[in-house]
Amino acid sequence: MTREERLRSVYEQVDEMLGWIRSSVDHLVIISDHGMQVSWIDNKTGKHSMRALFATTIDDQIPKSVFDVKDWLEDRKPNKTVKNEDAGFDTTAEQLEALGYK
Amino acid sequence: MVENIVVIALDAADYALAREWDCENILLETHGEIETFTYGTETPSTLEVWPSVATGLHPEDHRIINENEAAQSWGNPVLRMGSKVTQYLPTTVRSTLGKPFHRAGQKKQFQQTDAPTYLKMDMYFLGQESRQHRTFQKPGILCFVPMKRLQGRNSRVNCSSFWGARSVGRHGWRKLMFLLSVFIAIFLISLGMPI
Repeated sequence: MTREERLRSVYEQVDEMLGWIRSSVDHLVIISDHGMQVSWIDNKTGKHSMRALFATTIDDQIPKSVFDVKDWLEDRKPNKTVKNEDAGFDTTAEQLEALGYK
Repeated sequence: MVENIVVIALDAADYALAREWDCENILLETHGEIETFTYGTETPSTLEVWPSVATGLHPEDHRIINENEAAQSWGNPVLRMGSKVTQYLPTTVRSTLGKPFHRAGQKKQFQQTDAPTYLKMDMYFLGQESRQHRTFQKPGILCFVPMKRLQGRNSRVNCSSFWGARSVGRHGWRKLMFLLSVFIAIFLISLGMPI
């Protein structure tokens, strides 16, 4: 299987799973932090691209940038009370290493 | 049915690829490319961008910064200094050098921020093969957050045992169903295949 085929397979798996979730909830929002460079678009591979995405079932204007997502979501909460918590990562070293971070 | 919003955080989900492969459930009814950023690294860093999504702040303000591609740093300041000195060595060499200190009980720490947010994210992998499965025995999905509706019970939900689309177990789906009953649930799924 080529790199493209493997990558496409993962997208299709996730898309299928999201279809089930989509049918189970009132509203769904999909956010990404960046994309992935691929040879047929970027002429190189393996690094993150600038192609982050935002998608929603809500018929509304989407945020302009990743910095605007928090306000976008808060503006659409039925109850505006926000619970403040730390935004740190609880991920273990092993999990992050598996993600490629050393 | 209670109105809820489920937020799925797809790490490394590329807008152009989702469109190219007609991923209708990734793109939903309304979709677009949004601006992301680079700061401590040459390309956008997972470690920096997600805290910005959660807080709305630039890394200079939330202070979770990916320096030298490192997601974590030694708690011991002497080891942190040593790590900077060795930052240009191959990863395998650096890993070998660090093992004695790990065995001696030295720990690496994750950066934290006290910036206001209602999100708190863990990361797990989806779509990876057996290596990652063996590594943490819980590839797949993510985590969550919360919610007004859960206050007074568990203020935070951590679905650490979820499995991926092909291997999700009965237990994982029960957790997922529970999360879908809350107002906002955040799931972080990675599409960044290291291939």
